[in-house]
Amino acid sequence: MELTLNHYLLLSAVLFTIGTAGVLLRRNAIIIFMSVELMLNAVNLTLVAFSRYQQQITGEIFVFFVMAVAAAEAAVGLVILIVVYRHKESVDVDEINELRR
Amino acid sequence: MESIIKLLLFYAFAAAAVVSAVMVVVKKNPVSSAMSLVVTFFSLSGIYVLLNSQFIAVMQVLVYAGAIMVLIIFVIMLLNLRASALGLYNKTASKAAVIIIFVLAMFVSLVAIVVTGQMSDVSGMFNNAHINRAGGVQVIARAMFSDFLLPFELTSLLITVAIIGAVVMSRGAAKKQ
Repeated sequence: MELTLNHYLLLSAVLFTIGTAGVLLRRNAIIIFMSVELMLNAVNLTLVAFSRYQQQITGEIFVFFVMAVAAAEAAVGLVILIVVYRHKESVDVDEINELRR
Repeated sequence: MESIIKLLLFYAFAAAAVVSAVMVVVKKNPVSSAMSLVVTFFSLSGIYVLLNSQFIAVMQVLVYAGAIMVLIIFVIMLLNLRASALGLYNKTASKAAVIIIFVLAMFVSLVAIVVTGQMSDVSGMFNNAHINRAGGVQVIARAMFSDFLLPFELTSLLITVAIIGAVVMSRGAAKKQ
């Protein structure tokens, strides 16, 4: 059997699904954030696989920008989480789901 | 022979990635989840090497496993998070059946798209011979600094804004106290 594009796309679909399940099911905000990073990596894999199997380079450049945006999002999102923790003493999404105190 | 080795390597990396991804979602301790995510990132980096994109593989280790995961682990340690005694799943998970059905339906539709989809005849000149002759980094740099120069500069602006925002937000709360 030969390694085809479908192998990579199916792996990306599996990782994306696991990330979605993590975002929807878990309680801890940091685990939810890590699941979002998992989804972003699944999309990166799809982009690189298409870039290689269609003999183009645009996919890899897009992945570069996705990684940069993910890093910026990680920094800002985690700082927001820290500030929320200072206010509410919890990163449990069941406790920080209302704006009023 | 080489294709068999590539196939076996792909299955090894894919199995490691899927198993550690499941452990990210399932484990109680946040530090265990973070370690599993690092394993996932390394497996994905190996898969990028199989796809002949070594630059992306190195960037994956540097940025994701080296910077973002370190940041996440610092935050977990800073907030002194432990495994919560209240349980893993949020209140919506009482409707966990609906969520799992939705996630499975999404997975089935993704697999259907992959299996029945037909790739278009788009083809460029960047096949393996071209990339290996010029070098992976050189090929990416040539395209980045000519066709994609504006997004590149905007990305540096974005990262600067993110840094300033992070510093301002984390200091703003301290000033009030």
